[in-house]
Amino acid sequence: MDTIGAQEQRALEGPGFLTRIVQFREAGIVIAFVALCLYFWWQRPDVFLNPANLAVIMRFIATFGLLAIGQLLVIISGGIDLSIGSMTALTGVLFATLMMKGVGTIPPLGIAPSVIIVLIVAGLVGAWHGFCVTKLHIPPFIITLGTWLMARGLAAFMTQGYPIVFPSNHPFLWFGQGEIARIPIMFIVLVIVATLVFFLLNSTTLGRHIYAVGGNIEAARVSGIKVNRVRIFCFIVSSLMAGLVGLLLASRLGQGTPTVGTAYELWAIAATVIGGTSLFGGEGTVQGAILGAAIMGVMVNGMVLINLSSYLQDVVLGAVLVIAVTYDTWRRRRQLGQVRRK
Amino acid sequence: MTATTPIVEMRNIKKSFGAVQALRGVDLALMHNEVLGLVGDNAAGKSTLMKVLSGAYIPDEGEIYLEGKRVHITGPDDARRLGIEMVYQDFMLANNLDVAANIFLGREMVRWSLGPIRVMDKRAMELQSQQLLRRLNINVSSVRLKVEHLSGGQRQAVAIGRATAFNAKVIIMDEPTAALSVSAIAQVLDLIRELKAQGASIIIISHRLEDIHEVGDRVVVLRHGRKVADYPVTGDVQSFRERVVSYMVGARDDFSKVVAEED
Repeated sequence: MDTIGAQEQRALEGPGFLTRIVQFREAGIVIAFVALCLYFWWQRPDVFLNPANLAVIMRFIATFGLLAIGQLLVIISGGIDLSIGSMTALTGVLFATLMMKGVGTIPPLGIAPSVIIVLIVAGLVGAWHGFCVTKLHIPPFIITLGTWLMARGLAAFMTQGYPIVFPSNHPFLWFGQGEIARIPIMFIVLVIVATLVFFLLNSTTLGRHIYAVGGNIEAARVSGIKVNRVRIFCFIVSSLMAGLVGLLLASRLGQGTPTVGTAYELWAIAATVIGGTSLFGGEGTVQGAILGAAIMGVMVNGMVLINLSSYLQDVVLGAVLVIAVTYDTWRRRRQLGQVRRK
Repeated sequence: MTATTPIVEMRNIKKSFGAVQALRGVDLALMHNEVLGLVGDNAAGKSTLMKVLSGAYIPDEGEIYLEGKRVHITGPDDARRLGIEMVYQDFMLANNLDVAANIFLGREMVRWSLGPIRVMDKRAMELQSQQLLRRLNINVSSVRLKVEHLSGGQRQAVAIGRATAFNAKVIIMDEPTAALSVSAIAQVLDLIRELKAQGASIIIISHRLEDIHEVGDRVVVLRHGRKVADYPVTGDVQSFRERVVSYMVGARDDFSKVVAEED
């Protein structure tokens, strides 16, 4: 093609900085998040911003943010992964078993062999989901529901229902309990993973193909995209995130326990949806998913601080979910109407 | 290569699905810078023939020549590499992505790559998309608009634009106007004329005979998997339509000797 003309350059400039801030997809969620923080801070100025309390919130955000990121990829590509809560239990228990009854710590490598084995198992489970969805044409909901049951059952069987406890001075516990400059290690892990996945989704061809597969799978196929590979990749990442969270939770709790992570898959889905992800696929962002997890984290923490009845807490959270999705749907429809009228 | 060598020549193409003979030895030639209308009743074999050309089906028999050279098309990727692009009836666009992303879908420009990590050059793709749309007089306010924000005519224009973006030799359009409003049809026909003016060679499958009459140079009629007519588009739309329909329903047949031999 010929050289780039000034006309194209100008046309690409687009809206100004301020307009972009206002149109920023997640603006509504950011405002809600800030408002919630201010409210709880106003209610409990003595506790809310304490480093210890902030660390609690950050660990919550890290747990559900990581799960939500994996879930996000699967949902954007047009699937769903219900197995992740049970997978955190299975991977946590598997790790504890390996450490306390299996390979243990091998001096030069430390815990690395056990961690790698756990992540390989998690990755294989994701590959299994992807295989069943793409080759056997089993709906993602069903195949991951199967794992949801099987992983939980297997975790309970491996431990016979009892937790496998780490000694309280075990170095592994640093990952879940340690802090650097008052920031939990778990949260730092989240920041690193989120940055990588943000880059993946926004800058790489694979990221664009994930959106394309979720938007119109046939169009993606005839455009030469390896649709099956893309979908399998998303399931593997989701399972790896569950494995990572399984390790972090085992470290946080100091034990591998088969009851950990119950219903976490639904919390992760809620976080992505609050963050503007469409369950129909093709829409969703990393920043949205993390903001969704952050809103839930601040609310769960704040409602305890203001002594709201624990029964009512779930009612409030459910209402927030519905309001968030209603707002997002309304915003999107309005935007569509505006562009059409132009 | 001379001006009289067809850009595409399909010879004696046969394709059966079980007991059904979809194509019974069809010859089809497309000349350089020609717009060819391919018509026929339902199940006449026109889509099957174009799927053979675009690599979706592999023929049981027959040869395909591209600019005089024999080619073997075993899949859509092959066809694309040879410069044969298909525009699908339902556009085949990802509505959640913007115009530039759709134009480059599956063929993204890469700034740098490290193994499987391939980082896109988004700005270059946007600029090139914008140039493409301007060159083809396609009216879309920004290449950053998501396709879901476009009208039906604009979507079809983007789909056609995408097919032309990579120096395609041949563009096949499957019912390009079937899903569109009257004003959108006019837009798409203008676009086809523009493409021809810029040197493209195009095959259009259509039920709308007035569209073929308006933009086509030549018409080929298929019936029951055979070619029954192949002649230049001439005269007024009324007589053109009557003549084509008479071939479509079997009242006329310019190649009937072949039938007599086969049956």
